[in-house]
Amino acid sequence: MSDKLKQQEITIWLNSQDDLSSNLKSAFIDHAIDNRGVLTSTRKADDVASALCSALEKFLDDPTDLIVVSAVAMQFAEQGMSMITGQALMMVLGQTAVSDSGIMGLINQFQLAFLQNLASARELNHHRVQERSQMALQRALHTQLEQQILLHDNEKQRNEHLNQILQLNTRLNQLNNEESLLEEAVYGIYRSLSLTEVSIYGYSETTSQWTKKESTLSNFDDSQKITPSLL
Amino acid sequence: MFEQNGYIMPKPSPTTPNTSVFLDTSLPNTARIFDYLAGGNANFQADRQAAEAMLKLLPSLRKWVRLRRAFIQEAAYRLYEEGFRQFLDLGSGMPADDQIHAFAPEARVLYSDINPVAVSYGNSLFGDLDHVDYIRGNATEIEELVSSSAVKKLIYPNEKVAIGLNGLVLFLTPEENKNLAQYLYNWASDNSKLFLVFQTHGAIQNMAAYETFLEIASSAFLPIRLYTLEENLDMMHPWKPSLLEPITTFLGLPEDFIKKEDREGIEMAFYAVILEK
Repeated sequence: MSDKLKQQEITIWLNSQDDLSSNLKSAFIDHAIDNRGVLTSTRKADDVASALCSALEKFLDDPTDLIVVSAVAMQFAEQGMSMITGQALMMVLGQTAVSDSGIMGLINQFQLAFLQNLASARELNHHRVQERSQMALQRALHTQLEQQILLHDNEKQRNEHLNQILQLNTRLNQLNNEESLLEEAVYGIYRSLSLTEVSIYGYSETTSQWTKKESTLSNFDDSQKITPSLL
Repeated sequence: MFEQNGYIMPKPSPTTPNTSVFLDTSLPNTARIFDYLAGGNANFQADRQAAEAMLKLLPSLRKWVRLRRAFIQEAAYRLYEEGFRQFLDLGSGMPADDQIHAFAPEARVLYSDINPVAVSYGNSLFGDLDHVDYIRGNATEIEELVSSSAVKKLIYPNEKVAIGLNGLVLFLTPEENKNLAQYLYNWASDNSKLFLVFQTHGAIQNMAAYETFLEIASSAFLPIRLYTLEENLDMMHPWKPSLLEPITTFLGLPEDFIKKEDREGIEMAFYAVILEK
């Protein structure tokens, strides 16, 4: 068959495929929820059918140009088309009535090229998502490790404080005058617990007031009084 | 199986969150199992094996999961077209590129889930986006969740908000659902909307079949409860339906898309629901 005659056959065949676009749309709609991304929406059926018909037409016009097939397959993969949807669409092409074995052969080539490209593009996508998944896990593990270190440090510091308080208690037991006792108590607690300020107040029942007895503050005023409600 | 306030309830689930279990990829994780069922790639062999085991018990599960995902995307698209510019999504599950923010490109979107793997993955995926965040939160402690700094940053109190409750209602008790709906109603601005799928059961003529279904779901690590359409609407009170239709209609799918076997012998049905304040 001459090229010109063959082209005429292809044109006649394409023009006779009234149902092709609507069959592609139906196949897409049946599998839309199996896709990801924008192709989950059945509203995309028209776009998909139209893009496929156009690619098929261009491919039949020049079967040596496989770029048009790979471009449409990669675009669909990027938009989230699943293999099952791709297969369903290619089955529609396989079910078209073709009497000419030459055209059938070209359609088979198109199906094969489309599915191969769809699979390859999906594979790349798959690796990208898997990498992100691994990174997320590593980040979660890192966070957990940091929390464990923080917990360990806090526990260590707490033990140190408890030890210092035990030592302070021993020192306080050995003191027998009030002034030294109070002074050692405030400075001992101040150092042991790394506090900003430590003061000891005494409460007078006659005046109903608290009076500061000892403090780590340098400008300590022993006449400073506060009411109980402030404590 | 026991009855509580007129609802048939499954046995309480012994699932207690444990961070180290979540991080161990040799153990199945619910978020990753559902990612696999939805056709995602953020899952591991243990998740896939668990999902396949679940599918043996509940063959329609894959379809439920995918219908729900398609609903979320379509609802996000329609709500965005309607003018919603902020979304709060509860029980978001494993994050993906094609979640709400992909269909509402200029909106502020806050995802949340109790599953730390999902949250960690969300932070990794959305870390570079100013208008999208993913936080850990428990829908049964909604007050704490909406008080978080992330909610305050992304969800403006005087602006209507679209709230996704997908995949939650089935896992909560009627009381928890009612409390959640009421709290969100009080919290959200006027004209705010809830969007969710009601997965319902029909009139239970064969109680044994229904109990068997719940037992199977529970043994497939899905301690779910199904409610009737009326019970679902009652639990979401005082939100009012602005859209309520079969999910196939909402998604533009063929009428016979949900087959008899998908109804699992209990007349299970799926409704696309948008409720408004």
